[in-house]
This record gives sequence, C-alpha cells and structure tokens, in this order.
Amino acid sequence: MTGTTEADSLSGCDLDGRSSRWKLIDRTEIHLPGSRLRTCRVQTTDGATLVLRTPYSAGDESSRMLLDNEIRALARLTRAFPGWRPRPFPALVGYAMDTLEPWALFHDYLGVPAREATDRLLGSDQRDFMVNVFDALAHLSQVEVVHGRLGLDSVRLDGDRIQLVLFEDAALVGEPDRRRTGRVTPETDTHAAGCLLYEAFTGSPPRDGQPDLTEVPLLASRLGDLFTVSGPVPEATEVLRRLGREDFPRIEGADELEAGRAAFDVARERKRPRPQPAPAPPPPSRRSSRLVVTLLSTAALLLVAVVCLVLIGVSA
Amino acid sequence: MNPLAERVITCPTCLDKFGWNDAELLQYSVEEGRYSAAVWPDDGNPDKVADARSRWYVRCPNPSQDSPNHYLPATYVDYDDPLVIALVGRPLSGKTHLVVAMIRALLAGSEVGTTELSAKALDYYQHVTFKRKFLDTFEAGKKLPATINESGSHLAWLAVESGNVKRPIVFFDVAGEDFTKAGENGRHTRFLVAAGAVLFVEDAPHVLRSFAESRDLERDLSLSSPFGASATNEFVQEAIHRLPDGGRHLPAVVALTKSDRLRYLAPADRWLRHDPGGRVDPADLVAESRDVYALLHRANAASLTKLYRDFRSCTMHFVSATGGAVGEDNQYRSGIRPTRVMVPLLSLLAMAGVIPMATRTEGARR
Repeated sequence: MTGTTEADSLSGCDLDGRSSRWKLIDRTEIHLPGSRLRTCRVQTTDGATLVLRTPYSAGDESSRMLLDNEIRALARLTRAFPGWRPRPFPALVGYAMDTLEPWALFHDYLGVPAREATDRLLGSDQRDFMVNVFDALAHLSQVEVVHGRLGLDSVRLDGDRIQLVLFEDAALVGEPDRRRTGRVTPETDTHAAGCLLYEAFTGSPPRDGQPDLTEVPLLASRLGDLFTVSGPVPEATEVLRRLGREDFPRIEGADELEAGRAAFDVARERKRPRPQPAPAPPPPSRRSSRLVVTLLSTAALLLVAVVCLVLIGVSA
Repeated sequence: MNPLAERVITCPTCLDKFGWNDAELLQYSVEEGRYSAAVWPDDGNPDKVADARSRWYVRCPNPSQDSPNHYLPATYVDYDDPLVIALVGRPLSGKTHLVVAMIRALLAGSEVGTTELSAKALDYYQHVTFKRKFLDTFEAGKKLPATINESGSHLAWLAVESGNVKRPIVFFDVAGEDFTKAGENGRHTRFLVAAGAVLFVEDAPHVLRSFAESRDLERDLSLSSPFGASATNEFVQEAIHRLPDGGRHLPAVVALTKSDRLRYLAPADRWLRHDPGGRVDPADLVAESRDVYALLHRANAASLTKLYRDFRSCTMHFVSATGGAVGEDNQYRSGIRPTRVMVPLLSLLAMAGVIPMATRTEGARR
C-alpha cells in the first residue's frame, strides 16, 4: 500500500488492506525505554487516541525491518483475537510500508512500563501478574508469534491488566533467529518471562540467566524449570495450568483456510500415480501341465492295474 | 565447419525447425542498425574467435516464410534445445515485472544457492537493449512500461548451465489482452505452441479484492464487478486452449504476484519471509502450494485452483517482484525488494529437469 505522511494526516491501509486515511489533531512523543522506534501518542479527528510508531530516520532499512516485525506480529494477533477483551497486546489499526517514511498505528498503550510499577506488586498481585504474563504468552503461541525481547520494558501494567508492547524483534515460530544460528521457539519467551518475573519480584535480573530461586518461593515452587539450561522449558499454557488457570486463550473463529487445505490434499492425492495391482501369478506352462497330466495318467493306470491284479487274485 | 552443423534446431522466434548452417556468419552493427558478414580476427587466435563468435549471428531461414527476417546467436547451436517459458496472465498482473526480477536475480546468481545454476545472456545485443529498457529501469526503482509486443517475439533469452545441462531458456511475455484477442490471427500468442513450461500469473488484489488500491480499482473495472474478478480468468483459459493438449503434461507454476499486499496476512506473512536458500525443496513446494491453493479456494478463484488439479506437475507461490506498491509518480518510493521471485522459476526449472530437486523432507510451518 502506498502511504503518504503529511503534517496532520496519514494515508495507508487498515488491517484488512483497505485504503484508509487518519487525520491527526495532536501528536506527542513518548519515551519508551528499550525501543528503537519513535513512538508518539496521537489524537485523531474522530476522537481516538492511538500510538504511532515510525523509524527515527527516513530510509533507515534496519528500523524499517523492526517496524515490519512489529506490524506482522500484531496483525496476526489482532486478526486472531478481534473481540478479546482486555487484549494483552495493542491492536493494529493501520500501516503504510511502501513509503520512505513507513509508519504503523496501534490502539493506545495501557498504563506504564512494568519496570516502573512492579515494586508496588504485593501478595496476590504478584501471582496475578504471573498469570497475566503467561496468559499473554499463550495468546502469542496460538498464532505462532514469538516476542523475542520480553522484559520489564516490554510489559506494561495498568492495575491488574498487562499488555505486551515493543514487538520489534518478533518472529514466527520456526524462523531463523536473530543470529541466524538456530530457529525461533516459544521457549525463548517463556524463559524470558521467568527472568522478568524474577527481576520484578527481587528488583534485579538473574545473574547469567540463573536465578537464586530460594529468594522467590513463588517461582521456585512451580516454575523452577523455566530457568533450566538443558531440559525442556514448559509452554505458556502448561505454566497457566500449574498456576490454576484452566481457560486458555483460543483463536476466535474457524480457520478460514482449513477447507482449502483439505481440498488441496484431495487434489494432490488424486494426482498421485495409482499403484499398479500386483501381477497375477503366471499360468502354468504347457510343459509343466503336460507333466502333471502324464503323472496323473500313469497313476490312474497303475491304480487300475493293481485293482485288476487284486480281482484276479481273489477270483483265482 | 562446426561439428554440430547438421543439427536440427527450433527457432524460438518463428518456431520453425531447420538444419543448422552457420556457413554465413553475421555481425551486427549498432551504428548502422543492420547485419553484415562477420569479420574474423586476423590471426585466427581461437580465444579471439570464441569471443567474436559470442556476438555473431546466423539468419534464421524461416522455412515457413511467415515471419520478418530474424537472427539467432551463433552460439545457439552450442546448447540443447531451448526451454520456452510462457508467461500467462491478465493485463497489469505484473508479468513483466516478475520476469524482469527473475532475470535480474538469475544473472546476479544471488538466489540460486545449491542448484549450481548459472546464467548469461545468449544474445549480446538483445541483452544490451533488454538491460537498458527493463533491468536499468527496474533497478532505478521505476515502474516498467506496459507490454506492447507487436511481433509476438520473446522478451529475453538466457543460457543457463547446471551440472551437465546447458540450455537456453526463452521467456515469452505478451500483453495480457493478447490472450483474448486474436491479434494477427493469433500470432502474438503462437509461442504457446512451443511452450516447454508455463508460468501462470495472477495478482493478489484480484484474489482478495480488499487489498486492491484505489488506483487498481480505477484502472481495472473487473475489480469492482459484483460478479467477482477471480472466479474466472479468461486470459488463463484462452491460453490453455492454445496449448497443445491443454498443456497438462507441461511443468506449470502459479505465481500470486503483488503478494506484498498480503505481507501481514497469514500464511503469506510467513512465506514472504521464508528464504529457501536457493534450494528446490519438494516439501516446501508442496507446503507453499497447499497454502496458496487454500487462499485461492477461500477466494473462490476456481480457474486458478483448477490449474493445480489439471496440470500434472504444478506448484503455487506467493511472490512480489518489487516488494511494494508503486507511487502516484510511478516510482517505488521505498526502493525495490523482489521477494521470492526465484522460487517459482527454480521450481519450473526443476520440474523441467534443468536443475536437481533437493531431498530435504521437512516442510515449512504455516
């Protein structure tokens, strides 16, 4: 989609690809620690407050990729959970990438970065925070999105609600990782979630990724394996189960491509060369059948001869 | 005398077959714009002769006498018979942009990976023209002109080598309208008779109309049709009727061009980032074809899903020749980023036996 950025309007496309235009009446830059994109809170003429994300400099290819990562991940999430409230991520509103100054618009961010608020978490708040973090990750895993840089700066807190932001390093499960030495897995996020919880509860990050869990009995009792080096790291839904949650996020609506994939499978199967039926055993050759006839005839003659001899013997 | 002098070859321009005879070698003068007798290097140095020969021509005798004078490179006889790749699709579907992006990548050797595929221009002077008109324009981030092919001749030809295979590949690209109009008694689309592989092209906005830009809607009324634009594709159907036996025996690929519009829609969002590393992986080909087929099925693009069912060897792909949409000024403002343009070509070449298939079996995820 071709996009243009004017002083007070943005032309691009919405989540469904339709050409759209947003008129802005106010734009205020906000500082997001840990982000490599410019972020502004904007007001539109129809009264909405949105968040505008752009690269810091026009034509910067690496920043463009970060924005591309973020739009891709949040487009998947927004489509998969259109009616889910509260969403643990900012919904994608619109974007323009085919321009020198690409941008993306999202619903407004919640609250404040967790780094500024976790010291206020006490008792049951800590447990709720844990559940909410893994609930957010369970949303991501439903659409095979891996956040890739989960930390106290990329989680926002508003009362008992949380929101994941800064999807600049997001990728899809199975894609090459940033260093291109391995594949992206959801375990990256669950391990990072363990580290951020440890930091939230103790005030400092785990040293070398290996926390002293004796300080945090809440983590030690149920989630010690989040920090394992060699063994499997539990999935977000498994963590939720351990924390007493049984209702997991599920993609809303049916998979619209399922019928088409099934039709493809049928078409492909029909194109496969049919296995030829096993050849029937060859008919016995004339020579061998002649031999059988000869043997049977000889046996019959011998039988007749024996019967005759027996009858002659009896009559004699 | 060339040891292959009596070989029967097929001319990719007039499609006539004739015994090769290079007794009368010609050279082309750019200044005079005409062909004249080749001048042999004075000392007969074989290296110099080989170099000169790469720019010499032989006039096609055109036994059927149905075409204006045309010429074949003198080196044409050094290769196996050409693989004619026919591009088939509606007007403005991005056929030319796709084939130019393919040729650009092929000549650069950047995405051929483990196939050991190399390519070079076969017709020196034609390539100079092709480069100036298409490759340089594309490289500069400008929209290519609409195809006007009044002679029905090929767009470009390259000599490709992979292992022991040395073969010219010839790309025929005509205006989409030519498939439905019997221009010059069907001469414009006569190349279909000689096609060795077919590259079907459909653009993403015709499959998912919400992704069409306002200028697409203005230029192509079929996009606004209440009867739908994707269920039937008369350009594809007419082309198939021209292919001998409906072409079902030919290797075929379906390229869903302008897939950059779908860059944030699963499963295109994953495939557009999937780098096959120049491999032609059968499992990937099936997985991607399955996803494209599913998308076409959902959009009721029946004439395209039918291609997969009808053609014995067929794969389907998400591609973007430029990586983005063109601006009002006909410039690609954020530059060009061809995406996955080599995948359908490598698939075609593998199905045609020009390059080998890889043997990895793990498929990509959705």
